[in-house]
Amino acid sequence: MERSLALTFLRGQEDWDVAAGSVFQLVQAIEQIHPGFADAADQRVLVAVDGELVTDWSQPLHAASQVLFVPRVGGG
Amino acid sequence: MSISTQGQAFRHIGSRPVRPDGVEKVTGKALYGPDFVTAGMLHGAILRSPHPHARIVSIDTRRAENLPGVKAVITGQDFSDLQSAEMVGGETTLDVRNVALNCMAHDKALYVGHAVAAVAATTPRIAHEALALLSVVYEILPHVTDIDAALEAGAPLLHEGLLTKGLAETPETPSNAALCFTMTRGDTVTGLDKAAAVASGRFTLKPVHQGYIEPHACVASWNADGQAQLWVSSQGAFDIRNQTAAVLKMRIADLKVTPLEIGGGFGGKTTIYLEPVTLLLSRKSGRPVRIAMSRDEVFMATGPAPGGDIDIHIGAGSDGTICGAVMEFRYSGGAFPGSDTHAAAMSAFGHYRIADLSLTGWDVVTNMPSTHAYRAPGAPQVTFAVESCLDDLASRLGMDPIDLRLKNAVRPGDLNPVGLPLGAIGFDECLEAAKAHPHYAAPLAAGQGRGIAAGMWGNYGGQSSCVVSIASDGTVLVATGSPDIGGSRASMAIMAAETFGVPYENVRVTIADTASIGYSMVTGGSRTTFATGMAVVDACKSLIETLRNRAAGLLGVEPADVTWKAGEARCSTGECLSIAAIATKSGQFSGPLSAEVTVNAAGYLPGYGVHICDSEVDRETGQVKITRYTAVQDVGRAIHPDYVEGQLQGGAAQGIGWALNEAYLFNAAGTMDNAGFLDYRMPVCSDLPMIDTVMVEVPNPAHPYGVKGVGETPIVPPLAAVANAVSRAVGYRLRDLPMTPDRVCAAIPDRD
Repeated sequence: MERSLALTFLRGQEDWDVAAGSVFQLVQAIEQIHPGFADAADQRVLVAVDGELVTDWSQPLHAASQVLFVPRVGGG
Repeated sequence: MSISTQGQAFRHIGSRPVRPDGVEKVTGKALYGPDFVTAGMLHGAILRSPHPHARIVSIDTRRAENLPGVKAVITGQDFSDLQSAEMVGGETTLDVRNVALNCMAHDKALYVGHAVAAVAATTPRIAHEALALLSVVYEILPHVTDIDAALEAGAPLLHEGLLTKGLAETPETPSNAALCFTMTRGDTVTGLDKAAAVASGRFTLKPVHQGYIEPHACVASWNADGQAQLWVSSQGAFDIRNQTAAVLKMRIADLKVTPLEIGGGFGGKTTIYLEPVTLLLSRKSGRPVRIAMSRDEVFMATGPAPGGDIDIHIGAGSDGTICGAVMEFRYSGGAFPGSDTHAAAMSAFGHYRIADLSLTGWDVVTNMPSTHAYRAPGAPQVTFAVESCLDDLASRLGMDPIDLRLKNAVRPGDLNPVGLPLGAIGFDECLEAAKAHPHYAAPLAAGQGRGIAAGMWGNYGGQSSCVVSIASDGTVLVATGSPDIGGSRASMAIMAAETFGVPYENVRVTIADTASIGYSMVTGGSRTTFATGMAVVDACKSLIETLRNRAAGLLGVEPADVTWKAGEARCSTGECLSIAAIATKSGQFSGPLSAEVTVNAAGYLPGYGVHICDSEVDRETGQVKITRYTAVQDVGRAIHPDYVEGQLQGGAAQGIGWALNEAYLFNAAGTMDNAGFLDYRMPVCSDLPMIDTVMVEVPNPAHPYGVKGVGETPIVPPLAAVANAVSRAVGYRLRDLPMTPDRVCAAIPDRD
C-alpha cells in the first residue's frame, strides 16, 4: 500500500498479508477491517499485481501474488 | 527530425496527411462553445464576488426578476444540498460538493470572481442589466492568497472543517493545509552525507493559467420531463455529463452532452463551471440558455495551475552519482483542495535512479480560483527545482550537464517512483540524441547562455469506446467518445487505414455524443492516441475477421483460405474481393458491418524529454530573448508526426511563457491585477524562435503501433531549461519564476 493511502485509510499500515482470490476480494477483505476503504479504492487507486498495473480487478490472484495500491494521478 | 530504434514498414503510420478538421476550421464553419445557438435560446450572465473571502448574508433577487426580459434568476439556494462525496473525474478524484460550490457559492465566496448568482434574459444586455439589480449583502472576511501566510497560525480559514489528510495523526484543529503527501526511500541523511557536492535552495513559482483561446461556454436545455441536453466544448463530454448529473442529482441517462469543437483545453476543460448553472437557469425559465465567459471571467474563475514554493537539497558523489535528495514543496490549491501534490511527487525525481530520497508535498488552500489540471499537472514546478539543482551540481562537479543526467537516468527494468519496474522507456536515447544534436555543440555569442533540462510524465491509458462501421461502398466510419484536442481524428483515421489497408481519405472520424457511444474518459493524461487508438485498432481487426468470413462465403471457400491484405480479401485460389465488394453484400449476410469495442487500457509507458535552450540577456534592461530551442522526446511511435511535433513545440512554448512572463498577480485586496491577455503576457510567435524537435521513437510493445502519450511531457522540462540558460547567461542562479526583466536585472552581479 502506498504510504499516503495507508495513512489516510488504514491507520498507516502499509503492508498486509491477506488471502484473496482477486483484487475485488482483497479490497473487500481490507474493507472488513477498515470500513470505507472499498469506496476509496474504487475512486482513488490504481492497482499493480506482481509489478504490472492491471485494470481488471477480477483476474485471479495467487497465494504469492504481490498487490500494490497506488494513488491515481490526474493528467491534463 | 526523427530517430527510430525499431524500423518497420508502414503505409500510413508516420505519414503526414492533411488534417480532416482543417477545412471547417480555416473557413470558420467549425462550431466552438460560444458559437452554438438553439431556437428560443436565452442569454445567461453570472454575478461574481468582488471580495476574496466573504460570507453571503443575503441576496435579494426581486428587482432583477422584475426587469422586463428576465426569465430566470438563480443563486446557491437553487442547488441541491450536497454531502461531501468522491467521484472519479477524468483520471483523478473529485469531491462533488466542492465541484458544486465552485460552480456557485452557497454561503461563502472564496475568491474574487466566485459565482454568487446568475440570470437568464432575452438579450445579453438585459442579462447584464439584471446583474446590476441583484443586491448581495456580504460579511467581508479576512483573506489570504500567499501560501506561507495561509499556513501560519491564525491565518484566515477558508474551510472551517478542513483537517489535514495524510498525516500519521489527524490533527484536531482545522487549517488551510488540505493534504500532506510523503514519500521516502532509503536514508537521505546518510545519502547526503556521502555527497561530494550538494545543490540546494528555495524555488518559487506563481500560478499560471492554461491560456486556451476559447473561453468556457455552453448551451443547456432542460425539458419538463426531466431530460436535458448540453452542448459544450470540453476535453470529455462523458465526465462533464457525470459531474453535472452528480451536482444536480440527475440520473445520468437523462442528460445528453454533445461535444463541440474545442479551442484549447490543456487540462483546464476536464471539469465543470457553467454547466449546472446554465441547466438550472434553463429549468427555471423553460427555455434553452447559453452562457459564455468573458476573458476576465476565464482568468478569475477557472482553474490555473498551482504556484508554489519548493525547498530542495540534492547531493552527488564525485563521479556524478546522485546519492541523496530531499524535497519539500507547497502548492497553492486555490479555493478548494486538490492541487497536484501526488502527480508532482511521482514526477519530481521519476527520471533518475536515487536510492535515498525523501519528498513531502503540501496542498494548501488560499483565496484564489480553485486550481485545476494544466498539462502534466504538478510536474513542471517540481522539475524546475530538480533540474536547476542538477545544473548546479554539474557545474560544481565539473561535469557536462547531459553526462550527469546520463549517469543517473532511469532505464528499462529500473523501478518507477512507486516501485514498479519500467518497461521500454527511452530516456537514455533522448539524452544521447540531445548530446549528439548540432544545437548542443553550436557556439554561443557573448551574453548568451545555454540550458539543459530533462523531465518525465507518467501518461495513462484507461477507458475508451469506439464504433467502427463500413459503408456499402467500402468507406470506413469511426466514432469515438474522445474529443479531438490535439489531432486524434487524424491519428484514429491513420490507424484505421493502416489496419484495413485502405486509403486514409476513405476513413472518416466523428466525435460522438454521450447518448451514442459508451463511456470514454477525458482526452487528457496523454491517453487518447494510446487507449482510444487501441480500441479503434481492435474494432478494425474484429471487422477484418468478419470481412474474411464473408469473403469466404462469397467465394465458396473456407475462411482459413482467405487472408486480408491491402484492403482486400485474398483467397488462396488467387481470387480477390475488395472491401467495397464485400460491404455491398451486407444485406445478404447477417447485417451491417459494424463493431463496437471498449477498452480499459493498461500497458501505457511514461514519456521522457530533454530540452536545450539558448538565451540572450540584455544586461541593461533584463530582457530575455530565447535565441534557439530544441525539444527531444521519446514519443513511442509518431502516428502523425506533424501533430507530435506540434505537441513538443506547444509544450515548449507554454513552458517558456511560464518561465519568463506568465503569473497571476494579486493585489492587496485579493483581486487579480492582470486578468487579460494584454497584462497576462503569454508568448506569441514573434517572441520565440522556431522550436526544433527530435522525435526519438522507442515503440511501446503494449500498443499495436507502439504508441506512447506525447502531449504532456513537453511542458515539464522548459521551465528549468530556460532558467538554466538565463542563469548561465547572467552568471547567477535564478530561483524565482517568472524571470521578468526586473528580477533578471537584480540577478546580474556587476550591473551598474
